[in-house]
Amino acid sequence: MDLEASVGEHSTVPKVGERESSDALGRFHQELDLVDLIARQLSKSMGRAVEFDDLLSAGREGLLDAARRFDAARGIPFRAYANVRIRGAMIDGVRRMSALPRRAYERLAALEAANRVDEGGLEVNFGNSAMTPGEAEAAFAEQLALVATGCALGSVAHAVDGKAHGAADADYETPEEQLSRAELLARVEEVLAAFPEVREAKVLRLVYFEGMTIEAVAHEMELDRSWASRLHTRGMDRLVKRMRKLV
Amino acid sequence: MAAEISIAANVGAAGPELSEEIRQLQRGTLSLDEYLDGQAERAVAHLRGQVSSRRLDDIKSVLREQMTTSPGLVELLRRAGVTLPATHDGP
Repeated sequence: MDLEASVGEHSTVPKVGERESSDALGRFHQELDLVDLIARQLSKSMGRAVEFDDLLSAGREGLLDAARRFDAARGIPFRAYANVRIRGAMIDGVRRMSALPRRAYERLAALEAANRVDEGGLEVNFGNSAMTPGEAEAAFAEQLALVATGCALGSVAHAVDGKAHGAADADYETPEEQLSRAELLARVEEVLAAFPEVREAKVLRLVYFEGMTIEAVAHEMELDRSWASRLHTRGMDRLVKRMRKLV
Repeated sequence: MAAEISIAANVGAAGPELSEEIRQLQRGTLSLDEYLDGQAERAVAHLRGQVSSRRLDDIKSVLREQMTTSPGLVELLRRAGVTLPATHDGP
């Protein structure tokens, strides 16, 4: 497949220029199937609220960006790295392009949170080849708990500012859901206030309460993006441990 | 995807510290769907009573979707000696 042909028809996709290395082009071509795979899954998840072609366009952009930024020295396979970057690009694309119903927007926020945690977990999953299978299983289960917490925070925090994003849904939240959401947010805020590492709490607040991306948080806090991602992962880990004690 | 999957197991590669669920997965007495359902249930245990049942169901649904393409799951199964056939549509 010709790279220009595969991405050039979409105006939102960066044009391939002379600066593309042959390595980056090779990585792009090799994993193009992943774009289609993830687009089909997100399309199924989001329903008619999003256009499949828009997902493909954003996904190709994400794959190209991943191919450019990939650093083999981190020990993460490119397909694993590309997976989260493609999904992230699609989610960003949907967020930019669509006026979603509030429930769909809430689901998008949960998917975004899940992907954010997955990205932070790449180094855990692939960066420690000395892990035994049992340790790898425990690490994966722990990461899933972080993803679940990210989903919960992403969806309930979205609900607070949902009026700004979504079309009105008369039955969007029951009074019980409103109450449990308010209680969860209050509980999380209480836990964050007791964090020993202030920067971890700040990252979580900016991401989940202010709706900022990791990139924006890194810029705001004058951090490297990967460091901001690590603070996010560590903060989520601490939050889950504290929440387990509360149950 | 999971409904179409059969698991080819490499039991000898598993260490003694693996969970009973993944051992059942290796033996073929647990399907991948059932394994993923169990993983999703455990992942939300600390959220029970803290979010509404509707949101909890949504979260489990997102977790299931995320796991089907999760590089972490593929890596875990590789380390555990569980191999997915070519029909697997994950990464």
